[in-house]
Amino acid sequence: MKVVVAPLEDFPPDTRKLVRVGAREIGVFRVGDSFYAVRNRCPHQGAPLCVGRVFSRIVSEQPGQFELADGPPLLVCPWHGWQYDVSTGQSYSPGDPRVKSYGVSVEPGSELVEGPYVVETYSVTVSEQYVVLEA
Amino acid sequence: MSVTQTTPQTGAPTPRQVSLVDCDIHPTLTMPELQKRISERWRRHLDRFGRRTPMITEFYPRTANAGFRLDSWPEGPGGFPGSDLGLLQTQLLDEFDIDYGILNSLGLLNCHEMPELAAEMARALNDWMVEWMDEEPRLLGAMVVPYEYPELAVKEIERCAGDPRWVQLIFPDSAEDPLGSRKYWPIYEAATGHGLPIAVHTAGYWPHLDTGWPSYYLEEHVANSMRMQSQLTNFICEGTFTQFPDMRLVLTEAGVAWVVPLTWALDSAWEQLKEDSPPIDRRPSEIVREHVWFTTQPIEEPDTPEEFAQMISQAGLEDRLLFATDYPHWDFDSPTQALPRSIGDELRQKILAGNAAELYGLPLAPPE
Repeated sequence: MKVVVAPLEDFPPDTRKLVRVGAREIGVFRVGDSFYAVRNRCPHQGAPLCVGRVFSRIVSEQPGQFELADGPPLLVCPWHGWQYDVSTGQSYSPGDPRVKSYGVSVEPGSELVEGPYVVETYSVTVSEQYVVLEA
Repeated sequence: MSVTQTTPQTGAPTPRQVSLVDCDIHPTLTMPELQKRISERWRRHLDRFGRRTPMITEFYPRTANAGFRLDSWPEGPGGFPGSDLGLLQTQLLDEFDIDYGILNSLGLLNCHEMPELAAEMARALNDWMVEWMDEEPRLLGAMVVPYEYPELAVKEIERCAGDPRWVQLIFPDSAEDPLGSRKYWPIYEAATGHGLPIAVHTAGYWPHLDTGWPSYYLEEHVANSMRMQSQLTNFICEGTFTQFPDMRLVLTEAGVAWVVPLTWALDSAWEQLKEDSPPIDRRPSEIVREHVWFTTQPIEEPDTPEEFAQMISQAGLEDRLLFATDYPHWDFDSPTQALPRSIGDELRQKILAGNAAELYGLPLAPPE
C-alpha cells in the first residue's frame, strides 16, 4: 500500500514525520535529500523508537582522526540507546533483532492522482512532488 | 495502609485484583516549584547561592541521555522529566495499567544542605507529593527526610506518618556515614515504629567507589550495585537489624544477583570472626533473607532467559523481588517486556505485584 506522507515542500531536510498506517505507527525521516522509514517501536522493550536522535556514523582510520561517514545514519532509541541503520532497520549490534523498515520515494502528483494510493490528508495536484511511503 | 478484602456476593463479578505495582518512580520538583514551598530565608539563600550539589544532568561522568528517557520531557518551558503529573499518568500509569506506583523522590538524596534548609526541602517535597497523591489515587509515596540530622528527620516522620499513603522512607546509598551507623538509628527506629520500610536508592555524595573516579558512565552505572553491597554489609556488621528486628530494607536500583556470593562470603567469614562482631546474632544470609527486598530495575541479565530463571531460584529471591520501571530515567524497564517469559506466570505475578502488596500492605483491589 502506498501512503502519501506530505508534499515534498512541506517536508524539509533533517525533519521527521510520524504516520499511522492501520495499527502501525511509522516514522519517516528526511536526512539531507534522502528519505527513510522505520516502524515506531523498538524491538527491545517497545519504546517509541522514532522519537530518538539520528546520528551520522563516525569512521576512524587511526586514533585522533575521525570523520562523519556518508550513507544512511543511525537511529538511536530514546530509552536504552539501541542503534539501528535507518535505511535497513538492521541493529548496530550483530545478532540483535532488526526494526522493520519501509521504502520511501518522491513521486510527482501526476503519477499519484491515478491511484490506488491512500491520500487522506492532502489533496494531490498534478504539478507538485510528494513523499510517498510504501507500507 | 490496612489490607482490605471483600467477599464477593453470589453472582457478583469477582473484583479485579492488583496486578502491577511499580516500586520506583521518580518525580521531580523543579526549582521554581520548590522555591514556592519554602520560607523566604531559604528561598533567598537558594537564589543567591544555589544548591551545594549539581543536578543529575550536570554529573560527571555524563549519564546516558542526561539521565532521562528522551520522550519524558514535558512540552513547554521549564518542564523537567517527572515534573508533570499529566504526562506521568499518560506515559506510565495509563500506558501500562499500573495499579499502584511508588514515588521515590531523589530530590534530597544528593544534597547535603544546612540543617534547616534540608528540613524545609524535605517538608516541601513531601507536601508536594501529597498534592500528587491527592490528585492521583494510584500513587503512593516514599517519605523524604533530612537524614543527616536525625532529630529533624524524626520530626518529619512524626509529621507525616499518620497518612497511610506513605509506604516507605527513602535514603541514598551513600551518605556522610555508612548507613548502618548508629548516627542514623533514631531514624530507623521511628520509621520501623510506624511500620515503614527503608528504601535505599542509588544516589548520594559519593557517586563512585573509593577507588578513584571513573572516565565513563558505564563504569559508574555498574558500580551502583557495588556501593549497595558495601551498605548492606555495613547494615549487617553494625548490628542494625539485630537492634531493630522489625526493620525492612528495600534495596532499590542496584541489581540483585550479587546478594548470593556476598552472603556466602559473609556467612563463612562470620563463622570464623564472629567473636569480633558481637552485634551479629546469626548467619548473615538469614538476616538478609528476613530483612531485605530488592527492586528489579536494573537486574542482572544473563545470556539466556533460562539462566535468568535459575538465578532467581538459586538466590531464593522469589518472595523478595519488587518490580520497578525507574520512570522517567533512561534505563526504564517496560512492565510488559522487561521480565523474561522463562520465569513462569506464578513468579512473574509475585514480582509484578504480589510481593509489593505484601511488603507494603496494599489493598488487594486497585483504587477507584
